[in-house]
This record gives sequence, structure tokens and C-alpha cells, in this order.
Amino acid sequence: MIQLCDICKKFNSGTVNETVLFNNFNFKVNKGDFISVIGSNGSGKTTMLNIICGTIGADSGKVIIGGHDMTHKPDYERYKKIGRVYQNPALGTCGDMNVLENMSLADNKGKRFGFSSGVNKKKLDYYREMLGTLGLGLEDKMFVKVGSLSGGQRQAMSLLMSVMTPIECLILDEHTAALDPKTSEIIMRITDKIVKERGLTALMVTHNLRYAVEYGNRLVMMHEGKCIMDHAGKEKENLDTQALLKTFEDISVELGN
Amino acid sequence: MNLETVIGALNLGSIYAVMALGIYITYKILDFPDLTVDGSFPLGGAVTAAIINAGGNPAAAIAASAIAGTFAGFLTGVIHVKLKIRDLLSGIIMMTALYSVNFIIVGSKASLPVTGKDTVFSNSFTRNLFGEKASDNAPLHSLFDFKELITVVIFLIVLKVLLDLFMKSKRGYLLKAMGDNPTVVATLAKNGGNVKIMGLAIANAFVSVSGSLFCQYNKTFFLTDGTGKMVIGLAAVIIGINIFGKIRHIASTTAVMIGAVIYTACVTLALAKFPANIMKLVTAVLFLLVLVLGQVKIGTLNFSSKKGGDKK
Amino acid sequence: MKKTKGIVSLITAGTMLISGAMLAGCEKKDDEMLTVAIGQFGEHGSLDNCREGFIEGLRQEGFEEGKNIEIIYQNASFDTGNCTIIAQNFVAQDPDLICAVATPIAVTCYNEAYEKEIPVVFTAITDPEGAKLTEGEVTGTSDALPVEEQLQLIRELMPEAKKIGILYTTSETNSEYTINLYKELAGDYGFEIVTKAVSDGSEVSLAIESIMDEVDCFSNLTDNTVVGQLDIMLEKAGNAGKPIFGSEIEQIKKGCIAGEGLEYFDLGVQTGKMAAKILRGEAKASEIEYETVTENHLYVNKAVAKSLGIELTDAVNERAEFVGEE
Repeated sequence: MIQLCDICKKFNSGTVNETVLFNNFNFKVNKGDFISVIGSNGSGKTTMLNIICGTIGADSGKVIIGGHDMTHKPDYERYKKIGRVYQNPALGTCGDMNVLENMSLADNKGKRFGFSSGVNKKKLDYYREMLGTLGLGLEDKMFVKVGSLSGGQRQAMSLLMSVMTPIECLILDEHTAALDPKTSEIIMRITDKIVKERGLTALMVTHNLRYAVEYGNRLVMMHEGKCIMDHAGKEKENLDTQALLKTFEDISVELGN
Repeated sequence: MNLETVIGALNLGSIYAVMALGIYITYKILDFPDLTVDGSFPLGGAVTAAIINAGGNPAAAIAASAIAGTFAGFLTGVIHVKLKIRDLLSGIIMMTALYSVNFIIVGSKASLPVTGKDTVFSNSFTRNLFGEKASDNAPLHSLFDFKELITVVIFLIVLKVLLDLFMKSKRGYLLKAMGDNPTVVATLAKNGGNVKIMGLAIANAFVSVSGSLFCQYNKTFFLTDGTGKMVIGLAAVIIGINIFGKIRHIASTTAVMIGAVIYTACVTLALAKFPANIMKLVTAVLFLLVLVLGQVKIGTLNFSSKKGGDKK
Repeated sequence: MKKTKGIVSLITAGTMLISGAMLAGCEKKDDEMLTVAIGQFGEHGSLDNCREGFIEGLRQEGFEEGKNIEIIYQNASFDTGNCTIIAQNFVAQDPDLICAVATPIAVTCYNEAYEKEIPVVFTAITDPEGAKLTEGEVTGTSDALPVEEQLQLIRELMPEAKKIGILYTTSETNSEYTINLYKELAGDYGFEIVTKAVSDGSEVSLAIESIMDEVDCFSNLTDNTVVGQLDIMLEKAGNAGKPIFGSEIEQIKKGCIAGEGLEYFDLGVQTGKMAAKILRGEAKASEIEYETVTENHLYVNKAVAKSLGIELTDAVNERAEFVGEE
């Protein structure tokens, strides 16, 4: 599905602050995987997502998505097949537009944005129904500006919007990190439901070890630009939070903090 | 001061309102401080003066101005998006270039009169309808003093409705999304840069049309017509949005248009009632008053009778 | 539908508010008094002189402010949009005559007043024909420079000179007209004209350097933007030992060597007298041809001529009015 081949990435190249993050980094996402990625700050989790999506470019190496070499394609080309939800709930929706307008925008992804009416009133009930499944009362707020919704509601909408049209892969970039514990539980449940229902391939970066263990069929731990742990299937099911925490602490000890 | 002065202020205000609609797109929707305006406003005037002097139709001159403005905005967008030049700088580059372009269009002259030629304000149709001089007899002679206002308001309403319709289309949504949150546009698999270029092109089309109307109304094009137009437009947008933007039943485009009229009214008042040396100071104080009074007035009046949820 | 109603009522309320505020300042017109409206393009020495001369011209003909005429004065601060507003203001007050100082405001006043047939008298306009100020109730004075006399003067003082440099602003109609005149007549006196256009004042010092080596001397017009930078021009030309000829007394005072020029105050007086004729009803504006200044002045700055080593001929000494420090 997604393949990163021999990725190299340096930051502050050519200055005294030069840091090498990835040195011949390889990573493969198989079709149907729901991968949780964990790791300390600076381990390269988010950078990996950004390189996949084309938000930042790699210094060398290849990015292959769905069998096509997308290394030199801009981000918006890659998003044709990828949906993405960000840590900041404000990034996935347009705050100045109302719920209906946001849903209509997302619904039109992949089609022409022409001069026909931006909102299709016939689809109102369809959107309502879809929002109803979230159980957050959004179906009654169709004409409310998204900017005045709560973070949880906005994030749920982002999630729904990113999967509204057929995509092959869903990227979740710490998408529960900015929410309170109760809301993040809800969002995680919705995420799992959507991924399962639609049989999506998903790549989720999280700081919550419990979510990493509880959800998905594969768990990857990153450290200093390398995958130091990659468990799938049965192996992953046998993992528990305590064991993970132990490994995590070991890394930290190595780091000397 | 009397009614005619008021009509005069409304005339000019309505012409500036067309420009304000354009600046509303760049400044308010796209959050792009577009200095191209100081060049694309006289561009409309230059194209118009050249076409009318060549015997062209004044309405066709407006259409040609719109095309010229579109092209100017498009280039600003390309400079900003494709060549990665900062927003302010791209506008300055385009404005500087347009100075010479305008100069060339009017045949390397500092001014080009259209006096005595037909304009949208004065042609065989309006002359038959309203009469030629104040003393003539004509079917709508009672409206003689309003003939320019009627013409410009018709243009203004048509342009406003077109803009409103556009903003409600899929493409308009994309434009709104681009100003609101470019990340969403990227995740919709759309090239945000192109959306920005489109917005700038449309905005400058409005500005050029305003310049065309200004030239036809003044009956002369001056190379310096563009000086300070960006500031006028910005003031109109800010006054309009600050005072009327929060009222539920007034669309932002309407608010911006009223803003342009208020701006012109302030300048007219300052020009007419105060000596030249303190004119600008008085204008500044008037703006301040308008903005402050706007906050107070609107705060106490209740214009919103409906809740947002059941708006159909 | 409610939405439209809301908008309409609000617009109406707004318009009424503005109109009310404006009408509040309405003044009644005294039948005994004649009203003269003076519109000036911007604050500028020459234009101010022109306006003062105009009022003086009226006074000499027996029209005195406060006695038998009322003068309304407005200034557009060099903004063409403001010119329109001022013209509208004037026409709305229905004065007996409008005096417009400089081209942009003359054009707008003329266009606004055209339908009401209010006479417009302009001044400080170089090319009234180019600005189409020839038809209808309009007349005035042109400040076209005495180019031929200026060329004669330069030839007299610099018998060897071949090239004259002229700086001008692209946006000034008057300069464009004068330069064409220079180019037309230069050949008759064996000169070649080298021009350099600028679009704003900051470019003047660069522009003068760029043609400094090429020319033998400079001739300065009444181009507002360029005149504003005269000090730096004089410094640069002085360093290169090249004289600048001027076209107005103030320029010669500042350090231009000499010039055939016009006195804007006199031009204003001449205009004021024309206006008086119209006010008295002796002639209609449409019946009076526009005039150019009748009398040229030759101004010479002796100190500058001496420092540049230029001999003043007897012919020049005879006519010259000497200005500046001895």
C-alpha cells in the first residue's frame, strides 16, 4: 500500500545544528493494516507521516503509494488516495464555514469544483444521518459554524470528512492528543468503527500507549529515526501496556534522562 | 451642501464599492494584502479610455477592463504562488509593472480624456431617457440628477449578485476554504496555489471594473488614478465588516458596499466642511467615530430575529 | 424575503443618516452676493500663487471677498477621487463661477458643471486642448512655458552647447506637452534634447546622474515632482560643472542659472480679470478664448553664473531681473 524506501532526511542541513533524522529508513504499510505508531518526541513519527503525505520532502529515497512512485508529487496529488486527521482539530475543518458546507466540501473531493451550487440540499438528510452515527448531536447543528463547535465535535467531523469519499489510506496524526480523556475515548471508538466498517488501511501516530495496544493489528515503536519494534497479528495481541512502558523507559535510560 | 452633494458622494461611493468587493475577496476571504490594486484600478481606467477613444463601446470597455484586471491578478498570483515571492512583494511588483503598462495602453500620455464620447453614464440611451441637460424634457427627467447613480447601482447589484452566487458555488466554497484553512484544500486533493491565483484574478477583475467606471464617470483617465486606492478599499472593507458584518441579515458583500459609501461620505464631509490643511485629520477622526459609534449602535439594537439553526 | 427587507431598511436608514448629516450644514445663499468656487489640485507653491493672483485679479476688477463676492475654496490634496468630490460639491452649491487650478480638478469641474452650464475658468494648465477644455462654458489661462525664448537664452549663454537634458514625470500631462514642444523647436537652435522620465521623486537623483555625462546643460520645467527634488539636482549638476536653466522665479532663486519664465501670481491675476468679465456678464466663458501669459520674465542668478564661469551677454543683462545672492 505505502512504501518508504531508503529515506534520508536531515534537518538544518549545512548548519551547526544539523541533525540526521532518517538514514536509509525503510517502512512498509500493507493493505488492510491498522498500524499504531508510538515513540518519544523527536523519534520521527510525525516526520514520517509528513514525508508520506508530501508535506515535507525527503532528501533522498522513494515514496511509493498504491504502487505509484509519488516521491516528486506535491501533497495535494497524494491526498487523492489519502485522508488525514491532524492533532489540532482546527486543521481538518474550516471554522468560518458551517457544518453543512464543510460536509459538502468533503463530499466533493475528487470531483470538479465547478460553478454549480456548493451545497446539495438533497443530501442534507444523508449528511445528518452520517453525523448522527457519531452520537455527538452534530446532526442538529447543520447550520452552525464549525468554529463554534467543541474540539471533540470538530475532530469527529474531521474524521468523517476525511473518509467521506473512497480513500485507500487514513493517516491519523496524534488525532486524540488535543482532546480531554473522555472525548478522546469517544473519538478513538469512532475511529476504530470507521476503519473496520470501511476496511481502511490506517496509520495512527499516538502518544497513548493504551490506544496503541488496544486498537489496530500492528504496533510500531520508533526511536531516533528507526523502527525498534514492529509487532503484528498474534504477537501484537500478546503485548500489554506494562511491557511497552518498560521498553519505553529503557530507551529513555539509554538517552540518559 | 445639499442633495446633489449627497448624490455625488453616493455615486463615487458606489463606484468604490465595486473595488471594495474585490478587496473583500483578497483581504477578507484569502487574507492576502494585495497591493496590485493600485495598479489594476488605473488599468481598468486605461483600457477603458483607450477603447472609448478608439470608438469602442463603453460597456465593452468595462468587459475588457475586467479581462485585463483578471490577467493582472492572475500574474500577481503566479508571482506569489509559483515563484514563491511574498504576498506584499508580489503585489508591489505587479503594481510597479502596471504603472508602465497603463502608460503604454493610453499611448504614453499622463492622461487621456474621454470627454464628449459616449460612456455608460452618458449615451444615446440615457440621453433619451433622462434628457441631455438639466433643462431638457425627457420621459424620466425627474430622475435626471440620479442618472449616474442609477447606472452605477445597477452595475453594483449585478456584480454583487454574481459574486454572491459564485461564493455559494463549489468553486466559491473552495476559495473560502483556502482563506479559512489551506490544509483542508490540500487534503481535498486540490492545488491550493491555483485557488489563490483564481481568487486574486477575480478580485482584480472587480477592481479594474471599478477603475473603468471611475474613468467613465470622471471622463478622464489619469496615470495617478491608482494612488491610494488600496487604502480606500481596505478602509471600506474594514468599516463595512466592523459595523455591519455582525448583523445576521446583511451579507458580508452588502456590508462591504455600505462601507465604501460611508468612506466616501466621510471624505466628502471632510472636504466640504473643513479647510484643506486639516482635511486628512478630519477624515481620520470621522473614520474613528464611525467605527466606535458602529460598535455602540449595533450592540444595543437587536437585528437578529432568527436563530442560525433554522435558516433556510 | 425577510432578509431583503432587513437589508433595504438598513440601507435606507444609513442613507438617511448620512444625508441628514450632510444637509445639516446647508447654508442659504445671499442674492446680493456672487459666489465664486475655487478648487485647487493640491498644496503647492506655484498653485497657491496662482490662486492668490486670481483673487487679486478679481479685486482689481472690483470684486472683493466679503463685500460683493463670496469665495468657497477647496483643495484635493493631489487625489483625483477628491477632485470629483470637490467638483460635485461645487456644482451642488450652484456658484456663479468655478475657478479650477491645475488640470485634474479643471477636468472634473468642467465635466460636472457641463450639464448645469456653470462657467469654469481654469488656470495653471499647460495644454487645455489636450485636456479637451475648449468646448462649452469654459475658458482660462495656460501656463505653457515660453520654450522658444528659453532655447534662445540657452544658445545665447552657451554658444557651444549641443545637448540639453530634461527630467520629467510620466504622470504629468504638462511636462509631456512641454517636452514635445522642446523637441519640435530644438533643431532650430541647433540643440538636441535628451529626456529622462521618472515616476516619483526618489528616482530623480539617479535619473540626473544617468544623463549627466551626455548633456551640456539642463533645462527644468514646472514638473512638480522634479521641482521638488531641485536641491539634489543642483548639487549634482553643480559638481559636474553643468548649469540648470529654470522656468520660474523660485527655481532661479534656488540656484538655477537663468530662465525665461512666467510668474504664477501674474497668471492668476490675468485669470481673475477674465473671470471678472464673466461675472459682470460682459462675455460668456464660451466666447472667450483661453489665453497664455502675455509677458515673460527673464530671471538670472548672477552668483551661479559666475561660479560656473558663464559670461552674461549684454542682450541678457539688458532684460534680466537679477535674483538670488550677489
